[in-house]
Amino acid sequence: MSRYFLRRAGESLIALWLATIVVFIGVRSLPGDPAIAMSGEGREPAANALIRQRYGLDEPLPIQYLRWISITITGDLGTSIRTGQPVTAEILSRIPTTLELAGLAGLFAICFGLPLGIAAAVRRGTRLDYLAGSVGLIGLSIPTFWLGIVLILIFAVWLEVLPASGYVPFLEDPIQNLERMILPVIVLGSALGAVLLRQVRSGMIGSLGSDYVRTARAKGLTERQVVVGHALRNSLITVVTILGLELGALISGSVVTESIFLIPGFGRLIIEAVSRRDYPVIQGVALFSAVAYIAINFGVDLLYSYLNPKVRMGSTAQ
Amino acid sequence: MSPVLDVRDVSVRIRVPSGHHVQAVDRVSFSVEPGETLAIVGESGCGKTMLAMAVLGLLPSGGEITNGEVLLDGEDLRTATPSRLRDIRGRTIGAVFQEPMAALDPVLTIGRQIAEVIQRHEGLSKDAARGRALELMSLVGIPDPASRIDQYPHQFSGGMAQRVVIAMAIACRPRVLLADEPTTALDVTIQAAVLRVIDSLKHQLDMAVVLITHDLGVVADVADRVMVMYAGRVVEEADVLDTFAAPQHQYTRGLMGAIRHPTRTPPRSRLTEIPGMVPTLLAPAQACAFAPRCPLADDRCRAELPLLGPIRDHHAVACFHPGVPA
Amino acid sequence: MTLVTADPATFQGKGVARRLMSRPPTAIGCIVALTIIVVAIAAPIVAPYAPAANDFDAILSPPTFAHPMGTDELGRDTLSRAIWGARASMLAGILATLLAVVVAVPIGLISGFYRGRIDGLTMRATDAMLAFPFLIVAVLLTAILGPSLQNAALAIGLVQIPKLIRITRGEVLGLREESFVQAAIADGAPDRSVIFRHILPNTLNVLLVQATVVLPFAILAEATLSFLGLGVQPPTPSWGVMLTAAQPYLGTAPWLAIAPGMAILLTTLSFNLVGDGLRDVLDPRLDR
Repeated sequence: MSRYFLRRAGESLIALWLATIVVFIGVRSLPGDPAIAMSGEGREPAANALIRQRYGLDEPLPIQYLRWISITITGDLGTSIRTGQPVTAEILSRIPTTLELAGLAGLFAICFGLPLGIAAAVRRGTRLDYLAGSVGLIGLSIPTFWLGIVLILIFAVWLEVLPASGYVPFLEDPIQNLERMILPVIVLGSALGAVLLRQVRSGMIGSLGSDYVRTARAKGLTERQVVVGHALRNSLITVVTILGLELGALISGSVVTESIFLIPGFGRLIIEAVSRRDYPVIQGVALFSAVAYIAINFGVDLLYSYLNPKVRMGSTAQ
Repeated sequence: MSPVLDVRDVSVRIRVPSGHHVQAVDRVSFSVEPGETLAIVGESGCGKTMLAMAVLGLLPSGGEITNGEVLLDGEDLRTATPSRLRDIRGRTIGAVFQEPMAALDPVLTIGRQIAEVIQRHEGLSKDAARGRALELMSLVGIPDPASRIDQYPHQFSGGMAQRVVIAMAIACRPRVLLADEPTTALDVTIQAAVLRVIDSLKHQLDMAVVLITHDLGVVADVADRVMVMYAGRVVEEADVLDTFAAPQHQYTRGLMGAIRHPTRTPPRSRLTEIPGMVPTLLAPAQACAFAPRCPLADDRCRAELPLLGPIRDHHAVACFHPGVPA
Repeated sequence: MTLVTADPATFQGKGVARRLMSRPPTAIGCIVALTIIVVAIAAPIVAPYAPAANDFDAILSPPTFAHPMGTDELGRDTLSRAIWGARASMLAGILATLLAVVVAVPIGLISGFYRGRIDGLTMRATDAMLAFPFLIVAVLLTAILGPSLQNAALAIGLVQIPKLIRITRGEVLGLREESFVQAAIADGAPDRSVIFRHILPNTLNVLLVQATVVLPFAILAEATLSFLGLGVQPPTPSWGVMLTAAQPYLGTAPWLAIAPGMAILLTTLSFNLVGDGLRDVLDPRLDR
């Protein structure tokens, strides 16, 4: 297990390193003065010269990369061109909002995808199965932003039961906060829920047809023990892995959702930065996403190896 | 002595995706008494596994018993509720299947899997069940149970895994043990050991054993009686020695000719092969299903269905030309 | 034991088409998808109005006989714009898919076939590429290159590449061990020949299924990018652009939002149905 852990850690670090190179190349390719693009400062000649020296902008590219990475790794991502605030601080201030949205959306996806997927597999071929399958398919095919617009149309404009947009911090007013989260969570969680539904269903169909489930039934176990204790437990491993991979989709999804519902989160920051050509923020956002994503994947891998005894113990037959 | 398991005139029909029905089992009867091993023999596709599944109440969806009774200590399982069947499975009837590694849940320790049966049927606490599991592991011949009880299936070899499955099957001292090809997936050297375990358990627990196999070597080793099946019907039934000494049905003779006997098979002779394949019947047979492959077949065989009838003491055969060597 | 030297017959053209159409959902999906493609190609003929044709007498009018899906704030016919919008989506989808396939498949083939260092490098590179969620890539790219349909397609295609490389590589790794490939290698066939004549044809199944997954994603992605202002720029009609424009008028002219959204939904749904059907037919071992 520790050997596996070390190997995966090493691979993640290499991937991370390669990702930073990609971001660096991206930032250097941005139009305009690279000094301003990387640091967000340096509009006067004096300051500009200092920055050029700090980032090694007159030196060969590899040196520039080294300087850039040594500055960045300390957490200094420059200053936002728009607000004049440190980029790192700005990103960090937006994260909790997006975390709340993504967390609730994930919860929603599990509550809606998991039971439906299990039910569809257990009652395979019945109307429930076709219904669940259709729901899954539509959930996959529906554009997130359109779902958002339609829901706003129905619930905020026509029925007037929910607010159309806006955000209130949780600590300020929990009820208002949650009220405004309902529609965004549904929108963000639906696509993930649909993927989950289909994966759980196909995983369960596989497990339910397996020999060990036949053994479990031959042992006289109750249906619940068979379905949950054996079939589900085995499918969950693959489901967890897939969920982990889809977490990146949550980041993308949050961009759209936050834009429609005017939630000031990490996702919306990305869009704002692009439209305002706030390059240091774009740089910070790209780096942050890469790090977060690689870390999540690494975590999912560890979780998988923990759940799967074959990987955890190594296989030595006796 | 009255039989523990008495299967009377059972037929099983299975609906296949194309909409047709397949007659997997056609009016089969057999019975087993405590301490006795009945071997059900036949090639793949002859219906023996479906018969076992029918007894267990584990037919696949689309399968149903269309005729007969399955009497377990007098109780007809065919009319039992699913809940009653679940109580019986694992407690009164134990089952062992072909691929031991696939039969075990890969993510649970084998200790948990054995204890699970005991907890389910006898309501023991986790610790008590675990203690019983350790005893059972010794009983089936797993060395050093204490160190292996918390291991996972992939850490076991095929033979050891099958012993675990057997332990799970007999955990609650069932009256009947159903073993469907228990040694087929194992090394030849391990096969004998596993059969020994089943045999010794049979005596210790006074169980009736139904052993399904296509391997006559296994039959010769441990069976008391033999029932030969073909295309869903029984074609011959007798004590094991009788069957080997004087097989009455051409199919049985064919099966025997396909094994090499250390003394009886002439050296450097060719093993006989039965030309053709076991047919899949879409409806109950109206004539002898083996006729197309049988050198003795005549017009009567192709027009009429031979019924199982006694030919000697404890020896029945379903054939119009029994006992005639080809 | 006879040595198996013949290729397994995995892609049986006609048989596949027949089996596909025998399932109602897949058949419907195929018909709808084909219709949309045809409509996209024949937009100039099919659309009742030109996409930029203004009719200032009929601004923001609800669905009428003259304008079955209403008009927008500049008096343009929504139905026609939706039809023309199909072109943008199809174009982006096809470009992106082509890019992904053309780049990923050769890399996957080489990586899987030769293994060793090349494979290791490829795996790390794909790990790094996979580290960027699609929108971040799109954002970076459009920041550098400017927003347009082509750049959107580029971003979409780029994001699909690592996944496709992994899948191709996986297939190649498996196929390498098959007896017919081993036989060809033992025969002394040059690597190129083994790859093109034996391995590639047998990966086509999986790749085809993947293409049907990538295409709907690409269409959705193009719409999303246009919606966010990172793809097709107004006044060129694209379903995403239409939806952005519809947002301020949700209360007064809800039909503006419904038409483009339904169009996207229908398109992705039909392609997903075809994809599901193909997967059932070509790759039944994938538990569905």
